[in-house]
Amino acid sequence: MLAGGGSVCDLDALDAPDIGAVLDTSESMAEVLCRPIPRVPALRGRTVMLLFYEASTRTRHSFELACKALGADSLTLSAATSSVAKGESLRDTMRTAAAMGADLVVLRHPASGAAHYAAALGLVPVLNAGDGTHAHPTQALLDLFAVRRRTGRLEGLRVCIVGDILHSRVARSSAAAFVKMGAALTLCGPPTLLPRAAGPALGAAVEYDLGAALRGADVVMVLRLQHERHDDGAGGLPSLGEYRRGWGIDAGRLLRHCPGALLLHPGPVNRGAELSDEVLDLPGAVVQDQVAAGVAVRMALLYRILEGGRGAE
Amino acid sequence: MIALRGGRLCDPGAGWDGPADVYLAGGLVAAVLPAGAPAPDGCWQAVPCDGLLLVPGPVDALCRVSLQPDPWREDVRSAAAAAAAGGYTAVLAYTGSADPAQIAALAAMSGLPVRLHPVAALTRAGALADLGLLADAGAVAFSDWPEPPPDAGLMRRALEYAAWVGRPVVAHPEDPGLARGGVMHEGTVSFALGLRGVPAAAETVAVARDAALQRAFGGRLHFAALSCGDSLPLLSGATAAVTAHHLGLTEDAVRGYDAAAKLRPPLRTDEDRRALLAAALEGRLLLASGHDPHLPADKDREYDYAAAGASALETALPLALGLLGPQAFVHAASRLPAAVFGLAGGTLAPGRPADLAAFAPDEEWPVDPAGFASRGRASPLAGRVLRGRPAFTCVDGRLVRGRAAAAPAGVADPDATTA
Repeated sequence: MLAGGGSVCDLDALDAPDIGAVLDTSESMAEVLCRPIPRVPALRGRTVMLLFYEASTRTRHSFELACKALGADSLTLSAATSSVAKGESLRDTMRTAAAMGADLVVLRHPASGAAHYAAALGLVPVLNAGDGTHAHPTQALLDLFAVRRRTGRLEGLRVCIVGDILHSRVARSSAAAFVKMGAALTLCGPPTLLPRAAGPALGAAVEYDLGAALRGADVVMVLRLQHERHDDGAGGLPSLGEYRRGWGIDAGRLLRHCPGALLLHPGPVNRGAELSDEVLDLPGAVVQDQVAAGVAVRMALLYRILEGGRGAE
Repeated sequence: MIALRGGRLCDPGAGWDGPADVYLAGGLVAAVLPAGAPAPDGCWQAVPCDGLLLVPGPVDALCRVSLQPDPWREDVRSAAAAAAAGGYTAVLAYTGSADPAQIAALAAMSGLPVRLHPVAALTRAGALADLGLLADAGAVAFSDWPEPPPDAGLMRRALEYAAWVGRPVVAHPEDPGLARGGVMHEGTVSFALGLRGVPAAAETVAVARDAALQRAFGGRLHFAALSCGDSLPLLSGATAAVTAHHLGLTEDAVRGYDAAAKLRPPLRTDEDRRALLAAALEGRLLLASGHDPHLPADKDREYDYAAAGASALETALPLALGLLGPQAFVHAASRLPAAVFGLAGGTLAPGRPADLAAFAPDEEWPVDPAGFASRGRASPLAGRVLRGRPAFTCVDGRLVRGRAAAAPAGVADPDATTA
């Protein structure tokens, strides 16, 4: 899948060995990042266009750092400050990227399926950096990477994802990734934000009671409450207090149900919103590991897409 | 005076299903005789129909027509050309217009290759449209499709008033609160794709409401297009249509984010599809195209942002013919629409209008929207191979070479073989 300059829109086409190979390449990249001069010229002369139709700080910076570390040129096109704001269609923007000689487009877009659409144009390979509520494959891979580094394994882990599953591309991609790697997955959240269909769609158990969901978990992933996506007026979330009553993560709940579990959060953390203030200081909180892992994993994906998966060493 | 010789005529309304010679004169059916029987007196132009299936003229029960002059968008003439190419002899044109002058102009348009029956708006600015004046102008029904139905109070008044005018109300069964923001069927596929869903209840709630209003207040109620099997037991005294797309496709067509498969109502599960197909086979549903074309720029884009609706006139009948078989097909595509909307066709008994369609039932052809006569080029069937192809139609006793005129290559020309 990653060989031959293909696009990566989600993790559907990757099986466990593919994912394992990306994680192994990521280890090599992490080693590069630990050197005094964290640079390898593996992608020198290559141009990566970062096309961001949606606000993003860490993902965009993470990709920019990954490009720099590999010697690739990156240029960033933000929707608010470009021809996109003048009404240019995604199709025409992709044509522009191709005409500029981009070797790869990293696309962040508010519409689910935008990466598939852009990739299907066949102009430039696309690496999905988040599309609507559909997929965020690099986030899922960095979650796997951060967890594997701490636990040494993924198979057999009990993973619990808590929060607004319905509106979360991170939940969809990370859930798919953990399940592919043999983890047992439980999804937990308010019934209005966790449809029953999520279980069969992702191969996961659905549990509305937080205590039952957390019990015995090895990994707890807490999702950000996406206020910007609760625009359907359907009353999916009456209030923050109502949410915290049922699904707020605090140290007491974690220590009671799953002491020693790793705590993941895709960021940005609304400290004191879906997570209580103190949990980020628990030893199991690996949020900063995730950020660091992000650069290495994105380097690995850029490298494998642009160089067809030949070894990174 | 035309003699269609040697075809297989399927006309359940007249009890025909077999080889027949059909004689058309003066815009009416003059005679239907067993194949090879001596011709009635007169000078007949013979059209050989060997290997063709002849059916009473299909009437499209759901086709959106824009009255805005715009050379890039589908207009009345391009829609009529597409309908003729697709094997239709008549179209119910949903205009959304509450202007009797516009409806009268549409009803009086000449030179079209199909009969055009205007459907006028049901409401205007939150109140009833001038239903009586619109009926006088030629409207055969009233509908706000594809807009959501009016509130229950206004729907009640609409049913009562339209009954007095003697025309059916065509409801678009969609509860706006449940459907809000949805772009496909709500279920495991919508969850996996990260697309907002329209639950089946958005339709069943609306069907149940309007059927209850009809029971309480009378009137003739028809549902524009059903997508859910669960709607069927709720119809009560109402009639309903299903589109060929909903008989042939499911929500799986949306995988891959093909915006051509973004329809309203959305494509649903295979269980729904099978239930609707079974109902159509039992003769309980009208067949419609649901033709709702858009500019390429409005369809060829991110699924979330694309307009809902597809070009359907040129694929609906072949797809449905294959799924239903000739008998159920004629019932759903020709007889029921004529009966529900009070039109003269539906059967080819002598004295009836000489409207019929000929299909090459075994011809296989790939759907290529670039060759459509319609200006809408988005089809969820693009690239599929359909079996059964429209050959020609007769409207008011005149031959219409719909597809031959639109796409001349490789098409039999019945005029070339006159006797």
